[in-house]
Amino acid sequence: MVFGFRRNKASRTKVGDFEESALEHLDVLYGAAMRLTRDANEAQDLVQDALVRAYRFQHHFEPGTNLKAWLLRILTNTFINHYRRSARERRVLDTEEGTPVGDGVMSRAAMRGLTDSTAVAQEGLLRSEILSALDNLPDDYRLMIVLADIEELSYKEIAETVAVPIGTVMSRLHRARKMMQKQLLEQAVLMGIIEPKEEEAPDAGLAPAIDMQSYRQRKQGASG
Amino acid sequence: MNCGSVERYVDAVVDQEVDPTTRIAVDEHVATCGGCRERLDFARWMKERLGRDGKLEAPAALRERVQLALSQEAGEESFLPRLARFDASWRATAAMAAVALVVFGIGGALELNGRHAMARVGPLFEDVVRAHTRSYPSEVAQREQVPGYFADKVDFQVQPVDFRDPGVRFVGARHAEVGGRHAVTFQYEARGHKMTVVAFRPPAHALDGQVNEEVHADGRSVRYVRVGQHIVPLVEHGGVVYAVVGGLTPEDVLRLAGDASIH
Repeated sequence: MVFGFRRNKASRTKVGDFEESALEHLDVLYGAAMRLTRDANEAQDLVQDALVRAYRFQHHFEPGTNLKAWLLRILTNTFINHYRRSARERRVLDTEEGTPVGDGVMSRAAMRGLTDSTAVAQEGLLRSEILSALDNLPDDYRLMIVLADIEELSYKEIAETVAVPIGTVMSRLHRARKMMQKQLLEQAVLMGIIEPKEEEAPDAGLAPAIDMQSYRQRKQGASG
Repeated sequence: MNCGSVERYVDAVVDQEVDPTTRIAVDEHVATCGGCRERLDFARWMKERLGRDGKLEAPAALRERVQLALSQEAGEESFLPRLARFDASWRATAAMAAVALVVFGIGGALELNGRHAMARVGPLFEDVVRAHTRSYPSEVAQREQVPGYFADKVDFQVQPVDFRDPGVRFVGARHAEVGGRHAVTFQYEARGHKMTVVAFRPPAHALDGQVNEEVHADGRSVRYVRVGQHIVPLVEHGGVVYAVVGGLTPEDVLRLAGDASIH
């Protein structure tokens, strides 16, 4: 939807115009808030705070750009600045970001076990295990999965939302996915979806996530 | 392209962040390599699952709450119209209720502009909200014991408030102080939320200019004070003010207070 909030701070858009456009994304914001706060009451507080903030700062919104991404950016920043419980998880990120990712690689049998249609009976259980694996990730990694996989933002939009370079988005997302896989694998074994013996060593060594330089080269190669 | 190269591109491929040339090279490799195909399929499956499993529908109450907050933020409309439509059962309940709700007779102009009222709210009501946000153990857990227990502790007669809503449960009461005055706090659990009623005898003119009024379609009105994010309805009985603070939506707190009675 293309609309133009007024650019003049002194004459804010009538609340109805803003409300109508913003509330179209309420489910998206609530879903993201639930995954970030992991608490229904807190999620509702977060969504309300974020939307009131968005209303106050609507003159910063560029008409014609992605309103969902802009609202998610405000929600994310509100969460980081006001809702994050402690600096503990931030420290986890700082200390672990530089270490190589080798964990959480699934064997082919494990991948088949999880995606196999014969496990349909376990559907509900699997859903809760996937969300629980996500909820267990440290804030900064969880945020990557929420923005990339649940809200389906592009790397560029995620980079703008979290205010980090695209290369950091890519490495963080890669690590977040591996961490999730590792947890999921452990849970799947406990649930009986995968036999413990199937959890063999991965059949190929993992290369690190694509680095920024080659990413740029590929992009340029495509457009040139 | 070999298996190692494909592995490096798995994230970017499932996120559709690779250029067409790379995409074609990956596709060509995957067509002949079962291992890489499974790896890619699994990554796609995870992304698709998360996209599906992670989506939620926002509760209806959140929508109303956000609308109310935006209206207040805009300061350009009272939320009267919203209250009039928020609950059809409200009118039916009101019609049959012989509510012992004595509406306040405090002087001063009604102040419906939230910003204005908020600016002038005194420390008394800040203490009321503080009594809600801080949790102290109850001194009395049986509501029948309330009048007797507080008879010699506060300089007014006090009774627990009865809420018509069956989802509201009395938890306990304790002695407190608001704005330097004796008070009694009643703890309730209202549909999973904590709710506090603070009873006190207000000093003369303490509430002048702070009190807003909601008039409903059925002609009843509920008076309330706005303290920051909180809408604090006031019920008066025998010269004692019962201020209601809850973790519920403002609409729900006003509705519960509107149906409240004190015997």
